[in-house]
Amino acid sequence: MDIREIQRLIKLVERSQVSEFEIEEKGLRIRISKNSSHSAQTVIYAPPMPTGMPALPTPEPSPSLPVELPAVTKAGVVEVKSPMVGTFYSALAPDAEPYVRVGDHVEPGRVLCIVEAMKLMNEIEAEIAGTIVEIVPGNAQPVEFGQVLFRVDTSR
Amino acid sequence: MQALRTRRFGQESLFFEEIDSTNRWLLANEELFRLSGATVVADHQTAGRGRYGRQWHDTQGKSLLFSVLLRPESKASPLGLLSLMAGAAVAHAIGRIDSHFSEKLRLKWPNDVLIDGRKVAGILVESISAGTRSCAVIGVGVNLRQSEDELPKATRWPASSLQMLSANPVSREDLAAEILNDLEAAYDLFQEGRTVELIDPWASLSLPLGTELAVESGGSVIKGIYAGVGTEGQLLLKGTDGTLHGIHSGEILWKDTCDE
Repeated sequence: MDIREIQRLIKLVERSQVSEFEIEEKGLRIRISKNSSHSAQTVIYAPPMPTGMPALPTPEPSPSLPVELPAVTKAGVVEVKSPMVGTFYSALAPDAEPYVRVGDHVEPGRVLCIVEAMKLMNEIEAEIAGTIVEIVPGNAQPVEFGQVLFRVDTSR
Repeated sequence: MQALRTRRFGQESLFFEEIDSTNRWLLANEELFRLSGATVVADHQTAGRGRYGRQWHDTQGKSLLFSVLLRPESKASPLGLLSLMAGAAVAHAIGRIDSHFSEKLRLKWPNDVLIDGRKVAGILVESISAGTRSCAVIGVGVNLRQSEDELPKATRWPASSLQMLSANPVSREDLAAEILNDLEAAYDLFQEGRTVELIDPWASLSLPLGTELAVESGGSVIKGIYAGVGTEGQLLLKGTDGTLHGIHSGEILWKDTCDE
């Protein structure tokens, strides 16, 4: 099971009426639970160490999962960059609430913004949990490939 | 659908008499489908979507409305080409269904389908990006049987329906099958990174090179001469001062409103 599958499970639990969900696969046990005031929380249990096997590095709890994470700058601040040239939209429509505001806490899978090009509306999702500390482009501003869109403080 | 010759596209399909938006439903339920090609069809959308929150209006049972799920491989081709590819598939399918239209069809960048200068079909591609994972839906709306009164008036571009433009009735199922046949073949090219072959069917129906255009982009209007599209699908416009603009996001203005 990789990080994407785990993220998908979290999303499924968040959207469902299920309050707690547990799965075990190849010695990896994952429990996802939520209550009415919080989004889904994930607890990942390390696989049991079989005796007589070479020592493995101890898996750390989320969010230090073995995935390629976005560029981390100072003190755990992660930059979310634009995957394409286009126009940055902070909301689905001109009169809609913005997807996120500075100070919002986001979980992986939360939509942060839309980058539109060639009438393709591309939702950019958070890949990591943290607090939005900066939204760089203004709404409806053109953005370049690789341009920083958000700075997310993963320590908060 | 007898005319469907695909391996995947449209082979798994769901039909709704009424739904808010086939795009929205498919994006929200993408986990249910592992492979590209799952299709959601509706008789009526109560909140059909256009670019940046615009509405796509339809009258119950008078349009072809569907969305197809794609799982593009990362870096296969620039994602924006999905948008042009879909426009070309819809336009060529309409031309094959009724040869009366074939000489009159044009694609307005990026993907509006025009017949005699009137918009008969719109496409909205929506996608989700998270790292290397991506998922996209292509939403298609074709005006089939609307009368003049049933089409929205306050559109930026004059609208029409296939029935208003030809005496031959068009079967919704046959047109859907033709579009899906083309979409699947084009999507294979997309996944293989064969971008030139992907753009060709689009370019064959585009405006003539050298057409004077005005394009609204980033809050300003750029005027120039149409110079084709780039490898990412961007509109190339040669400005009056000779500068070549590559426009990734914007809208071609109706000629009657260009001088406003």
